[in-house]
Amino acid sequence: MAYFKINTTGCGERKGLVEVRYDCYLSRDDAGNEEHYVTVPDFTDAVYEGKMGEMGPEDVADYKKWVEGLPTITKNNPFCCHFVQFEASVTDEEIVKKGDEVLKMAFENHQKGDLKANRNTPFTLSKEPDATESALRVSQIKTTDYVAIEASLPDTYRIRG
Amino acid sequence: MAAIDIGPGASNLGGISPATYTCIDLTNPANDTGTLTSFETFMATDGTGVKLGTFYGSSTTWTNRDYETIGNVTSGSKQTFTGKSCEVQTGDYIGRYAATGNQSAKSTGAGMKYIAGDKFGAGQVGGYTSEAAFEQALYATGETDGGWSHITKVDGVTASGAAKKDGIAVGSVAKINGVAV
Repeated sequence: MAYFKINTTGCGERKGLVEVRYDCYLSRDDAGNEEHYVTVPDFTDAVYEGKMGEMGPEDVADYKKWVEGLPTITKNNPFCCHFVQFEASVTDEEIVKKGDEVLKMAFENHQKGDLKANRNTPFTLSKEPDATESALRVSQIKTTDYVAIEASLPDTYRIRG
Repeated sequence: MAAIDIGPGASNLGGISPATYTCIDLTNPANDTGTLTSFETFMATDGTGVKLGTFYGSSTTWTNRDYETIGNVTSGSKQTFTGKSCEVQTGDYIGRYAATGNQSAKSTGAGMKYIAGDKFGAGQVGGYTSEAAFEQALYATGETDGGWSHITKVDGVTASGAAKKDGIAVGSVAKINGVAV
């Protein structure tokens, strides 16, 4: 079953609002997962010793050969990373709940091959956006354990850490 | 509303374009004016501090019109970022910056402009260098702004021509002062 994570590297203040990034993943039993369970070169501690120009390797064929010789790792990449904007007053519970809505929308659009159809529901601003207030809220979000938040809620949501 | 697209496309191009440069791709400029809501990229190695946005200018001097902070981007497959709201005008080019991580790229294509450092939000910047044949795995789509149907003017501007309210794309605003738009 598909699941989501809150990716704090993409959370920030945006135009006076709080922006939260939700990374959506497929499980092995979800249709289309093959595209996102990828085997890639493991660049850990790898150093290319060929000549590098400002914009990359000067000998592209040599660089490709070097990459092909690296060990590989398999990982599950997100099938979609979706951003939602909130007012600074958003609660942790609302952030978790929204993740399930985002996952449902993204999953359905992914199955249709149309992630560009992802949309956020228009909302009513209760007051003028406050960048300082939102930046403070973002700093709290970045240090919050949302899996623990979910565990404390009466309903379950498809969030993972 | 009409569809907008910008950038060459996002797939594994085999080569790389390194981090810590602001790079503007000259393939497929924006075909219309409005808001980009979806971005795609393909990283050759895991990236951090990624920003994507729109640029205009010429020769060695370019201006970042608007940008989106993406955060970390994993490598090995096309990554799609939706729910964004990035201003774009006809003829703009797509650009990117990463603090670390190599962008998938190839040394053919319409070329690019690049400069060391993060120039997103920096206004007009001179000193860009040209790469005549180059293409990066970048793409974005969006729509022209349709304005609102329930109100005629916002702050004196005809609503059908309003792209944003207080910096927020019109598509994200449902009501203004309690009135449905």
